[in-house]
Amino acid sequence: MFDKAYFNYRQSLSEITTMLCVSSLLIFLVAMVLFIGVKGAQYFLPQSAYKITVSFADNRQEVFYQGSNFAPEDLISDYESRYRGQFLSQPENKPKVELTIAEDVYQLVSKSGRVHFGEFYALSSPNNTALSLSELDSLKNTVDLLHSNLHEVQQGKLRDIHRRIAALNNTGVSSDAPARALQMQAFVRWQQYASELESQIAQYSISLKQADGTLIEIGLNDVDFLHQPNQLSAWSKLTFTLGKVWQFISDKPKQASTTGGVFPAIFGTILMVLLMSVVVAPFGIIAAIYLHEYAPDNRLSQLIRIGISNMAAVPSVVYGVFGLGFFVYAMGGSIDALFYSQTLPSPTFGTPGLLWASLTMGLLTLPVVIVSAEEGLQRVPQGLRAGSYALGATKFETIMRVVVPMASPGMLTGIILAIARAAGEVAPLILVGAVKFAPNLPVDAEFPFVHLERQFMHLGVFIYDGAFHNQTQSQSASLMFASCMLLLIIVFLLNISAILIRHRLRYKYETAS
Amino acid sequence: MQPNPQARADKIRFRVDAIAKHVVTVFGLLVLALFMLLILHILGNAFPLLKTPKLQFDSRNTVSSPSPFLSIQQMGDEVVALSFDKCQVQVHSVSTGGGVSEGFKHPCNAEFVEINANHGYATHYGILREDALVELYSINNLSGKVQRSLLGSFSIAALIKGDEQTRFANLAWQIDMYQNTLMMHARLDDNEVALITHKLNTLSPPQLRVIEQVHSLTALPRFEQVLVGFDGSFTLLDKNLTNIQSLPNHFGINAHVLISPNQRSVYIQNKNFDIEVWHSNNVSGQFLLTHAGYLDSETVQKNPSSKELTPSEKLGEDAQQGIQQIVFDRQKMLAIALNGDYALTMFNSATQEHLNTLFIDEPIQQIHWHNQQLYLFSEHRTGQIEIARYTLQNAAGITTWNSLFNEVQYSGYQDAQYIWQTSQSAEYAQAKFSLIPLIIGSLKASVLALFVAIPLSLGAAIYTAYFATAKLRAWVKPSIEMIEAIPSVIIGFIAAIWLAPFAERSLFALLGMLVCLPFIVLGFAALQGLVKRSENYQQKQGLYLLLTSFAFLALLAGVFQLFVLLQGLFSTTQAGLLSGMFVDITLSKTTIVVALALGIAVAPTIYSLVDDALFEVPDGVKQAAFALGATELQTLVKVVLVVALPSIISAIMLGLGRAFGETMIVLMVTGNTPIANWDLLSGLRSLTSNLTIELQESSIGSAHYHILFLTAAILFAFTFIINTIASFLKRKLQGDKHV
Repeated sequence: MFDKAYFNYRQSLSEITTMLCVSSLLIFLVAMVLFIGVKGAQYFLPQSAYKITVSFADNRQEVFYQGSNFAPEDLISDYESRYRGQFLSQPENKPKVELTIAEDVYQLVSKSGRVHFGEFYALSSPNNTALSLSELDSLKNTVDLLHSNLHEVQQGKLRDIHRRIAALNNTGVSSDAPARALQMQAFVRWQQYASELESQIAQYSISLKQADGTLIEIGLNDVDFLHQPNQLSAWSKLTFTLGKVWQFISDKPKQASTTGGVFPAIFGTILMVLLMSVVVAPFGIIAAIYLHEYAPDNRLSQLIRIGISNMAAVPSVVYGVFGLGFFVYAMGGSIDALFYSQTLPSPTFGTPGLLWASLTMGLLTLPVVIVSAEEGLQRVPQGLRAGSYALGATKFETIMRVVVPMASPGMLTGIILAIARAAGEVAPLILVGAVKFAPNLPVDAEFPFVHLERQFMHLGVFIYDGAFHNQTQSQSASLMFASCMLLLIIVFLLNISAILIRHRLRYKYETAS
Repeated sequence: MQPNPQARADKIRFRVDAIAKHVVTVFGLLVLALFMLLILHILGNAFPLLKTPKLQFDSRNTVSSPSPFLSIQQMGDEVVALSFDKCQVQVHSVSTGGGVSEGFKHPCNAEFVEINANHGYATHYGILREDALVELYSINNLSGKVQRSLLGSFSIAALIKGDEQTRFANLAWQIDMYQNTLMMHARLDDNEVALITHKLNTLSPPQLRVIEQVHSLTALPRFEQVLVGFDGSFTLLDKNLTNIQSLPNHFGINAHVLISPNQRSVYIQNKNFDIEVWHSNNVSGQFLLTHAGYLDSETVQKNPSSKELTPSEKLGEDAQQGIQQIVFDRQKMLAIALNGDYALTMFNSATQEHLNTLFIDEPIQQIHWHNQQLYLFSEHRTGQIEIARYTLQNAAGITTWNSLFNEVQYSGYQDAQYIWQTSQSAEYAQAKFSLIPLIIGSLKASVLALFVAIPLSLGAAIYTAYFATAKLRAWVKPSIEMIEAIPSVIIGFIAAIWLAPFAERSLFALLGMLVCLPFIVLGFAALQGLVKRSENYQQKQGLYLLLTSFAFLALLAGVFQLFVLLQGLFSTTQAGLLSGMFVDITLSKTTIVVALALGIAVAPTIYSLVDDALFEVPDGVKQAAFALGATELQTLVKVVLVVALPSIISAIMLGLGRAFGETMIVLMVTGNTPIANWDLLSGLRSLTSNLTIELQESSIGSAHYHILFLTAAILFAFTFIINTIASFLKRKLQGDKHV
């Protein structure tokens, strides 16, 4: 029957449309995770080196380049687009771009993170200028030894002498006093030794022949590692990747955040989240206990409850505004006026910093913890409380011994969700203290060891900054993708654990009742 | 009697219990107080905008100067007055006590010429020597002591012919200067004005023109124009004295003309004693004056202590009753006018709104404004000049409600506009604070996001809550909710670094894909009918979902590739035509990216709530519908969706709130251009991203700072109200269900 078929078709249409909506969202989730995973993994995996030849009508340019293993042809289109504008009027002269794998090219990464490519040309030491590459390791050991000597001289001897001379200056000792002459003599002697060491170190170098035939000479002292990216064995690929992962989590960003690691950002994020948890956990849990156990059950409490759950939906940047206006300017300003008046007008606490960021994020996540903890408290059966009272326990004892232990997974869930939120939140942090690059960690060996007033780095802010201020070429953005991957893993793990804990809690009560 | 140890322990227990109750209560209330503090702090910092600006008396001192103050100007951070006495020009430092700080000698029979240059760092004056040489000097204290340097000089001897020399003797010359363009003018008699124009330090000789039939002349050297008045009518002339524009003939005969320091605004008193404000606007290369508003005579003029006069009496009796002088702030939109009856009127120089009036009960000759302070000069006895100083308070109140939310005619603009421009580009270019572009930007981004989010989330929620089996829902729902956990900075990063360039490159293919989408869906529906007939559909639903997803993805990718090929084909044959067609569309790149990125970020929020609402619709209701013979679809549309409607609306409102408050995606993806335009294809800047961009740069206590707090308060209020309404809607639904 036509009618029935028509109805059936409409039925299927509605079902398939809604199903495709689910598909789209799932596809987005999977694509997002895969995209970030693949792009981020590129940062850790060894990449092949290519030789790019651009042939013009009369000459040609050659350059070694490291391309992504996943889409080397992108390099060609990238290069072609560079010349598109230049040859717009004469497309017949457009240069031809060719890509060949450079089999035996060497990749040299310097300690500052710069990458050089080239064929091996020469390795030289003070005695010999044409050593073979196999001597590299022993030469590098020698250089390291020399360098540690130099470091000792500079940091140990010369610095002390500098201090002593400065002390003499401060006390006004005349310029020809014997004490000063003695120091000056020592200074000159050590300085000579240091420059001798320096010139020795400078004589150890390695030369690479670049694609266009020019030589580049790099001091061995500056070499981080040297390898042939296209001839790596499986083992050396693995060690390379592991080394890169270790560098990622232990090093600081280098070369304008295109290489290196994100240790300061990880450290800053964790420290901020820890401080925040210390603030938010007791306040949130006690507030939830108050609301659920002590507050009178009337309209006002209902309103307060709605208000608190609405506070969770207030835009995060509003908390940032409050943090800057109240914590930084008002509280920080008064702390400065009271305790740091000698350094004013340059502020100590009256400027965005770690402490204020933690407090702001604590306030931001407080509603999350309260709502979640109250939900946990609600799930504790009323009968258990009654049983506890019947045994003669006071209200406080009931709460401490019966209610809180049972509701603790709910509270834990709240804190985990709060941590996940704080790890991924950026907007308020930009206002209250997270910066794109902070040379000093908030914790160091200098008294008082933890510097709560310092600005700090945060993974989310690092990514935000990377999107704006670094090259958008996928090649140089791969550190950013790796950071995205790290952040995504952290946030997902936290959320999944929160879901699991909540699930188990629910299951426990369902079986209990 | 020994106390019972058990009773003692109990006593302690009860005491602990009581203490714990107090501690918990205190903590709970402390948290509430903290949230109240947040609200109060934000509102409190927005509040100064409502206060009325005031002038507060500060100090008064008397300076003895045998000769009157001829010119009061700015020298660095000091206010100085110049007097000409005993063959020398004396510099009186007004802001630091008033003594003579330096004297500069000149020939005794020279005349002093006032220079009006509005220079921030140096004071200027001129000397007309007996041999008709005009010397221009500048005095500054940049090096720590007062120094004078010669700016330039020119001779006007050649301009004045022999028989006219008596006519040009003893004139009150005045020089108006802008950079090196100067206009020197003086009244010859009641109907004639002499005007000398010159470019300082150039070879071109100065030119003299005598303008006849003129009562007053106002020089605008910045535009090389003059505004001349005759019998209540005003005419704008260019440097060759050709008529550019005639203003309507309705001004008083002796109407005063006052100009703002940037020479873009002209204030003229009309017959009704109102001050008319005219802005110079660059129309087709020429600067013409357009009417910009009134300063109402009622608010400007009336001094309650002086006797009532009708406007006509005032006009006829004493033209001095009009506005004598207006001083302007360099950065704020504040201007203060001195009236004939010694009232100081503060008004907003952009909207011409009256702010406050201060009545002084003694004669004032001149006023000067510098660094939030107003200096009043009056000479009661000869040789004794009294200087009173007033300080501005509640400066944030200068920004009126009108200037925040209404179109404002700024000088230099063709018409009244909404403009958000917080960093001024030049001196005397005031920051412009209109919140409308930001509010429109936020709403635009939210609406765009909802375009994507509503269909996607509603569809997905209907599927999981209504069509899908419980087993499938247990997997799909947490997965979609996982999207909500993705930090928005990551979505923003992907959108900015990958999606935006991608959309730019393949916009044509994307649009093509969008057009083909309905057909793909129809095709899938036809297949679905077949699939559903298979026996194990219910058990293998998850598998079907997976297969459909793959097929869907593959088809979309195929269609996309097809259109990419098509585009390639077109661009070789009809490149010109096609690029012409797509110029407009490429502009909308941002729109698509914002809609997609923000939409996807908001969708899980709506999805989760709608899914819960649909799932909570009691089974009995559905089964009743089935029993009445309704099909699955009819039950969905006529029963389930209707029952859950309040919840769906509340979910969409929450989604709107989330999109409105989202910061990072909007910040990273849009160009952050504050445009007051509802056109979905043009750029936008939202309230949230504006806060992240500007708050740290604004100085504490400035109007900008308070306005940013006002935007935070707006954000807070908007989301708080929306969420409260949403939660009441939901509560109502739950209440109904219990009934």
